[in-house]
Order: sequence, then C-alpha cells, then structure tokens
Amino acid sequence: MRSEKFKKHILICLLLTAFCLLSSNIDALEVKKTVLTNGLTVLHSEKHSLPIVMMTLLVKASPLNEPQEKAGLANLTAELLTEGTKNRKSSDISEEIEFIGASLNTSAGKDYTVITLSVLKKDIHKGFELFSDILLHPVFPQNEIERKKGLIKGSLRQREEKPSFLAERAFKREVFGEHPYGRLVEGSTETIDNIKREDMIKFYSDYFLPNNSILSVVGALTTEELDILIKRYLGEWKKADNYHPPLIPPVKGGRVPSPLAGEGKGEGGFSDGKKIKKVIRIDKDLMQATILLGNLGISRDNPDYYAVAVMNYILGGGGFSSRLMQSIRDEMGLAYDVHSFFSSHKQGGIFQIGVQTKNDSANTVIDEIRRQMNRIREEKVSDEELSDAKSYLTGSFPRRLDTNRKIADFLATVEFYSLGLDYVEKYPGYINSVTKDDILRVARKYLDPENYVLVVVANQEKATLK
Amino acid sequence: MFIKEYLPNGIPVVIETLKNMRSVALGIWVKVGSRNETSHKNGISHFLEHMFFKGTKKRTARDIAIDIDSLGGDLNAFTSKEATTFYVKVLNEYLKDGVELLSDVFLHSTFPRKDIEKEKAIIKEEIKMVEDTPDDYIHDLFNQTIWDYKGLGQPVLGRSNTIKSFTRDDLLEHIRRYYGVKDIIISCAGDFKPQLLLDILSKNLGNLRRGSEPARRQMPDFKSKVKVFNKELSETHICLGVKGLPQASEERYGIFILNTILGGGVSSRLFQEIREKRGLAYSIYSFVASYFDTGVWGVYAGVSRKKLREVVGLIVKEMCFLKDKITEEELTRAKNHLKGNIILGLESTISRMNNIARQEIYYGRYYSSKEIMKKVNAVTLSQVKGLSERLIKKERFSVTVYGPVNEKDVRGILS
Repeated sequence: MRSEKFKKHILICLLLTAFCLLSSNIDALEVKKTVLTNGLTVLHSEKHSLPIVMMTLLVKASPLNEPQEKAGLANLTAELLTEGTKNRKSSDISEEIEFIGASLNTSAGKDYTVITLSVLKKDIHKGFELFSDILLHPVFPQNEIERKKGLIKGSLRQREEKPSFLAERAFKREVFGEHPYGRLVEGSTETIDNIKREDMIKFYSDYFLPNNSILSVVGALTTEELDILIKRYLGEWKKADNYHPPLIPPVKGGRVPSPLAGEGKGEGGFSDGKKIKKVIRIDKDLMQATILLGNLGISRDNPDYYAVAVMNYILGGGGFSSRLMQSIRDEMGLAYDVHSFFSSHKQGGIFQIGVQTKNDSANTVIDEIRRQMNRIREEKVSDEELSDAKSYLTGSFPRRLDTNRKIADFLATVEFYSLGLDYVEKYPGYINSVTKDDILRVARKYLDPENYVLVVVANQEKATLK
Repeated sequence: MFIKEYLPNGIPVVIETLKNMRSVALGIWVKVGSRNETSHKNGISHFLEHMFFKGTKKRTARDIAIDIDSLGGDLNAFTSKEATTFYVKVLNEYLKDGVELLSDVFLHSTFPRKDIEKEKAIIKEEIKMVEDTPDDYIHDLFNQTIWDYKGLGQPVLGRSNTIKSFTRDDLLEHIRRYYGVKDIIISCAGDFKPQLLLDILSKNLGNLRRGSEPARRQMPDFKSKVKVFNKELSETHICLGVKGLPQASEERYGIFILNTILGGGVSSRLFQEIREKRGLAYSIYSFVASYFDTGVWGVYAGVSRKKLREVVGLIVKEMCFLKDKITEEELTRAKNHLKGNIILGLESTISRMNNIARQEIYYGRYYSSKEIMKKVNAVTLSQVKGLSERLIKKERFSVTVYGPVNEKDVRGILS
C-alpha cells in the first residue's frame, strides 16, 4: 500500500542521541533519547523480561488548542483516528488489532493527545503498521463523525446520572471559568454540534506533526529493530517547515476569582477579581451528598510542586493515614472515603477535597474539612508525619514504574513536562528536601479555608447546607 | 517458576517467582464470602474484613497505616462472594517487613468494641455509594434476580439492617467457623528466593492452629424471570443472561471465547451491532461470572427507556444466533484477543498473585500461561457452537431492569 515515492523521503537519521540511566534503588532503567530529522523525539527503553512492546505517542494537541465554541475538537479528532484511514474502514481497524491480541487506543487529555499501542513482540510489524496507518492516514469519514458525535453525547447524558460527574463538572467550571481546563475534554452537546469535518482535518494537520510529538517505546525491542520499524512505518511522517505551534489561548480567570491569584504559574492568568466564596448546590434524589471543596492549584512547573505533594499527602492524599481519612472516616465514621488532590497541568492546576457522606452529615463534614485545612495552615506538621509522608512518596515511586505500560507513559510525560530523563534519580531528593516550614508555607499559600468553591450534589432538602 | 509448598500447619503456599520484578505481592486468601452467610448476617464477611485493620495487640489502626506507608507499600483487603483476601504489595527489599505487618493484622487483630459501631456507619456509607451508582447497583439487583435473596444472590456489602445487628461475638464466631487452616491459602508473586519466603511465612503464620467447620454451601438454582426495579433515572440499566459454567468446568475456555465474541471487545458482536452500527447504547458489554458450583453468562447495557425493548430483543437474538453464526475468523480473533490479554496480564505481580491463588482455590493445581494458551488454542468451532447451543435457550433468560420503567414496560419482553 505504501508507494515507492515515499522512500526517498525517508531521511531519518540521528540528530541527537543521549543515553541516560534512570536508576532507582536497585535496578536501572536505561533510556535512549533521539531526535529524528523530522523533529520527532524518540525515547526507547529495552526490556526483555516479557515478549511485549508498549508504545506511547504523545502529541501536543489538546483543548488548549481549540476554540471555545468548538470545545471537544481535540477529543473528537483523537477519537476519529481509529474510525477509518485511506486503507481501512473503522471495523477493519478494530478487527485487525484484536486479531493480533493487541490494543490500540487514542485519547485527548488536558494538555496533550496520546496514541498507545500494546502488542506482542511477534506481531510488532503488524502493530506498527496499524499504528502508523491511523496516525498518518486518517480520513475522518463524515458518517463516522456523526456516529461518534452521537456516542459522545450519549455518554455525556449517561454520565449525568453519576453524582461525582455532576460535581466535578460544576467544580471545574467554577474554578477555571472560561479557560479550557474549565470544561470537559469532550465539550458539550452544543459545542460538539459546532465541530465540522474541516475543523478536524485542519486540527489534525496543524498539530499531528513529528516535531510536535514524543514517541516512547518500552519492551522487547533492540535499538536496531526500532530504527528499522520507524523508518519503514513512520518514514513518511514529515515535519512542517517553519512550524510554529499555533498560539495557545491566553489563560483567563475563572468566574470565581481565586485566592491564589497570581501565585500559581505566572502570567497572572487567574488573578483578576477579588476573593469570594462560591457555593453550588445541585439537587438530586440521592442517598449521599457528594461534596467537592477547593480552588485553583498549581501548574506542573511550579517550584512548590514537591512541597505541595508532601503537604497534600499529610492532609488527605495518603492512603489510610492522612489527617482527613483519620478524622472523617476513622474517628467520625462519616464517610467510606475522603481524599484531597492537587492535579497539576501545563497551564495551571486544581486543588480539591472530595467526599461522599449521608445527606444530613454534609455540614459536619464540610466543617471538619475546613478545620483540617486551618490546622495544617496554622501549626507545623509533626516529625513523624513528615518522615512518614516522605517514605511513602519516595518508597512507592518505583512501583509507579513496575510495568512496561507505565514506563512508556511515564517517559512521554517526563519529556513533555521537561522533568529531565534523570527524574527518577532526582525525585527522592526533591521530596526529601521538603521541610516543615515549606509545608506550612505552601499550606498558607495554596489552601484557603474561607474562600473556596464548594459543590454539593445531594438531596438538598435533607442536606440543608448552612 | 511455580512452586507449591505447605507451612508446618498445613496451609498451602503457592509461589510464582519472576526475574526482574521490582515489587512483590502476597495475599492471604480465606475461602469465605457473602454466599456463605445466613441472610440475617449478610455482610459479615466484608464487615470483618474491615475490622481486621482496627488495631492489633501491638499496633493501633494508625500504626498499621503508618507502617505500610513507611514501606512505600499497599496493604489492603477485598471480599467477594466466595473469598476474603488480605494482601500486601511492597518493593522486594521490604518483603519481610510486609509479611510481618500483614501477619500481625491477620493473626492479632483485637476488634475493639468501640470501633465496631463506627465501622458500621462507614459501611453504610459504602452501601449508599453503590446505590447511588446505577451501573454498579444493577449487578447486585441482577444477582438478586437470578439467585434469589440468599447465598450468591446476597450483596457482598450486606444490608443496612443486617449490619446494624453485628456484634463482636459474631465476628469471633465467623473467624472460628471459617478461618481455619484448611480454608486458607497463601499466594505470592515476585522476584525473591522461595525458601526465604517460606521461612518468613513459617515464622509468622506457621503456628496458627485453628480448625474450621466443613463448608456449608448449597448449590443455588438459576431463576429465569424478568424483574423491574423502578427508579427515577435518566437511563435504563439492563442486565440479562443465562446460567453459565462453574469455575473448574472443562469447557471454561469455550465460554471465555464465546464471551469475547459476544461482547468482550470493540470488535465483538454486541459492541458492533448495538453501539457502533445502531447507536442504541453507549455502554454495552458481556461478562462471565463463575463460582465453585455454578455461574452466569450475562450482558449489561445502558439505554434510553424508549429503546429498552429493542435492545433486549437484539441481545437475545444475537445470543440465540451464536450457534449458527460464529465464523472461523471470529474464533481465531477471540482466541488471539484472549491470549494477548493473558500475556499483558503477566506484567503485574498483583495479577499474578491473584491468578495463582484462584487456580489453587478452584482447580487445586497450577496452569502455566503456556498451558492455558494451549488450551485456548485447542478449542474448536464446533465446540463453541455446541456450548452456546446448550447454554442459550430463549426460555432460560433472566432479565433485570433498573430505571424509569414499570412492570408493563417489560411485559412479554422475552417473547
């Protein structure tokens, strides 16, 4: 199917090759980084313990690159990649991939789109060929677009039934406002209807470029074998000359001005407005109240990232030992689970505490959450809490890399967020250098027990929020 | 490499060692679950599982949480219809500490009275969480429909009114009856020296001496009927199915293949026909659940109320036609899909630990992934056609519907 004329375009040679040892306590993870002439960054780690190969292609294309009225464009484009190519129709793709017991998935997230392939070594050529076909030759058939739109809208309707979905959607919208992080990656029923085939073709050709992507490959594959596969199957993928990624829309403040104004990632993006509190009540006939409380968090490149990670672990991030879990679950018996999160992205982040409790305990639980936020802002954490959090965060880190799939995804994101290929080596140092004063400082800076966004999905009559 | 050994007290230990694994997973499996409970003590296995973490003779609940954190590990437990499992996952170098902690929890928990009432409240919250999640809750309702409200038909979490009644004596009685050495299996997967593990286990668990009463288990009947649970929801949730096969059935690979063809992946018949071609359901899949003595083969779909009849009709039709319609190509695709999943599952020590324990519990022996793949390969087209013909009969279907629907909406839905 691939014609001869492409061959002369195969100019892939090694521009830059760097070897790096990602080592943890015992074993070392050897990663080779190469930037091809077409601009594609390739990360490769050879692992022969099982006859499998895991690939992750990260493309810098996300809702950050789509107009608000066409929200969902990045997601729909990603979804359509597997729905028809020059060579195959939708059902051929799923049948061929399942025929070799492999899986090929695409998905758009907040900052990027990923295409992943998990395949047995013996079928690597077939897997690579399918991977390349959906990446390089998607045709975005009109009927498949319509069908996909219907399915996405159906799934949005179905998820409306889940209290956690309603709460998250309202919470993000309130915290991030007009910023793309404030909406669902899928968009909404109205914006999905605005997306045309031409939009998707343009989005695809603007962003799905080798010099806008990172490929990570982990598994039973030598460098020579990988080179041959890349030449054969991705050789025709050409960079755009004079490529300047289209401008990311400026970050605008949420409808709720944040107490963290200007203290997250620069640009003062979230800084307009004054500090206020916002409470959103969603009434639904439910047994439990789903509660989310929080506000803006920090972006991934914020230097406070590691201090925040340790602080959050002690507050509500850690398994059964966190303060929120100990008080709300173990002492008060008011919830099965309670957790706090800081999730950090390229342009900002979110902080949230989430819990489900019976409707009439909602007020008590909210008070206790605020009390715990105050406490960690007012007094230093104990030595024991600090060392416990550090040993968990550093000790469990290698387990985040205990399968080839996890390593492939990890390498791609490490590269995307510019964390450095020695990140695994450096991570314990980042965590261990956090002090009690750091924790107090970041708690005061990023937690606000007075001005927050609070979403409560509940039987409001029973919850009777104060 | 697989090894099976016994501790001095007779507890079997199944071990799979694998080079280059970074973490090790170890589980203690007790062969008791919600199906063994009387209906007025429904939920006790799960309740007890929670109570194990409330403190031991030498550790408070908080000490337990902190100790596992300081190892960077996971310590947890889960309860199903036929087993209660306590497990730990740690980096290789902490194997000894991890086993010590898990054993302490398993052998020396004190079940403080003051924590019992508190834990009841937590579990009631857990129950409400499930009830607020309709695509989860429908499975409980389906089990209730097909097995009645006893044995396999009871929810693992129990019900608010049964939980209210539990006492400390109930917990101790449950342990006395079901936690004997004959009903315990230990499984472990990772990169370690087997003898070292056995020494650690003998030291920690080898002295347990406890008998247990012989298992009381009645083989339940599969009830073929249509049941509606009315609830104001935007979607209608459906589960339907037929009686399946017990875990140890010789034909188990046949039913896995059939299930893959019917609704196991994106190229499956139901996914293609109902979601991709007709767009009638966003979420649709088929599942196989097998137990010691019986099983169920079912389909879940979430649809709009108006499409209920059409979708049920199409699912039943697809299932009834399997015996005539399956092609060689579909068979090969399903086999490869299954085999691919088996190999991909080998990556995690937790899934290996689960796998060897279940094999020991249900088959009393070990099958390597190579052997399993050989067995999958050996299944023929006529075997799967024959099996689907025997399992699927229109009059044997059971249907459960949960959503804004009432009896008259489902009248004659199977005819």
